[in-house]
Amino acid sequence: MASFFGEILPVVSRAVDDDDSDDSEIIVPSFVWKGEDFTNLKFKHIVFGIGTVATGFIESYCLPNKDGNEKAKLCEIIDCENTGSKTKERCVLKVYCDDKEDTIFCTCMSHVASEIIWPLKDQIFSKFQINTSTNIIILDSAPIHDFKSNKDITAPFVRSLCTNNFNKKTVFPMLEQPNLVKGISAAILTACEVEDIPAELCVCFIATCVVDFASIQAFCPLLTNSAFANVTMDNDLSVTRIKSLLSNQATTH
Amino acid sequence: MFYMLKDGLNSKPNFESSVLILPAISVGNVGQLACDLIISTLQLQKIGYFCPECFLPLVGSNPFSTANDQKLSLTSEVFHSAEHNITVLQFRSPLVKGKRKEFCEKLTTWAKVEKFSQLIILSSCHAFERKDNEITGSPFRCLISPTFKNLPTQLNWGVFDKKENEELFIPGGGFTKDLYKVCCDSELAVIVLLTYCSEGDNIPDAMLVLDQLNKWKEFCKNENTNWITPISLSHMFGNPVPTGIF
Repeated sequence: MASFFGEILPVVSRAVDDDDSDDSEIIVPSFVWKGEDFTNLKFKHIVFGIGTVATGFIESYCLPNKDGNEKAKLCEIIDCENTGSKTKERCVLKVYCDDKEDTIFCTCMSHVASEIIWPLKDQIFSKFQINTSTNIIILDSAPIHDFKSNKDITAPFVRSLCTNNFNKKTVFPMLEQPNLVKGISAAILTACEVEDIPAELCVCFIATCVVDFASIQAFCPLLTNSAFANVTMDNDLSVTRIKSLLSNQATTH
Repeated sequence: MFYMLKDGLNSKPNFESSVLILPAISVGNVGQLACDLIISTLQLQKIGYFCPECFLPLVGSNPFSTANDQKLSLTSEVFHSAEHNITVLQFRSPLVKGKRKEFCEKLTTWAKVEKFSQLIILSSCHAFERKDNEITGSPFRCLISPTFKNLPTQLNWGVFDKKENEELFIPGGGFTKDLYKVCCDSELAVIVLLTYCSEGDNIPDAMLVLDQLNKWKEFCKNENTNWITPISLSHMFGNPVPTGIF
């Protein structure tokens, strides 16, 4: 398409790709579960932490021992046949458990490509006993520039969305229209909604591209929720863990 | 495939002889905008979800409520009105790559099982693809399946031209072509109403399509219907300018 100045510009659409055919092969990713088998165990609560901020909150505030109680992990097998190198694995989910085995904590730090979101959700749901009596909490973060509002709100702040059968009071305000949440957290909440499983999604809107103290601590009001009843509150320990997380982050950047 | 909403419904609505309206995810999102306007104006009741696993996941709060409504909204929803005898599907995100065939087959199977009387697909096509001989006049076109009876004479829409090799070519139309073909193969009565448009603020395009559709189906009796824009269509072009910069 020619622009005002005469140069030819590629035409892009927010709704469709230029190529309208969809004969691309469906990618079927392979996953491998390593560690304890939870399929026969029943947990009251499952907490998912998606992204660095939510993972930082779970690692700093919820785990009795940061390194020692990792029970299992889910890895995606990356087929490197075309490049000639050996098959590699990529950890997509780490699974922790609290002392009384009431709550499972799952963290996901990796980027989940759009085509593997649903297969990953299926894998996760097949590894735990999830039914209408399970309580699911999903923690996620999003950049503040994605938040649409007439009000001037200072980041970080948390908004929540619940399934229609979630009948508890939420500690965070509801996510206002026209804001939306996408990705693996949206897939988990969608599955919970259609399968009638009570679930809450909490999204922290952040202004920084790296994790900071305030963003992690924005989730702290959640600690009053019954899912975190077995968490031993030790603010000094949590602050030390956050400091260590931030210093690790500083060295990796 | 179809998941009925658990709360607020005693039994599954009877879709038999109901008209199924659905948007194609196409250039300018005209079909989706039009469906939002129908749902909002006629205050249709949400009754369930259709194949959310075929779409990229997306969640938000109720797009049609101005109050603090706690109801969750998903990417693919079904609305129904016994009074107007219509069922409207609404999609809010693109199909997952490689899922188009599966989606088209599931939709046609569902439409056959539930015995919808007609399928109306609201779609759009890139305006820059219009040929010289059709560049003036109405931007509205239609595609009608062989089994479609009672052709709407009121519409006066041109039939969408096929290419020289008799191949249907709808650039920017998303899954329109594939769904139309599967519907024709399944002998479903389907009509595709599409408009030529360019990307931008496409709410006026959606309103024009609905005005045309309303001439035929008469959902609203007034000729100059005021289509109600839902709250979800606010901030389409971002936030207001921050006052702090002045």
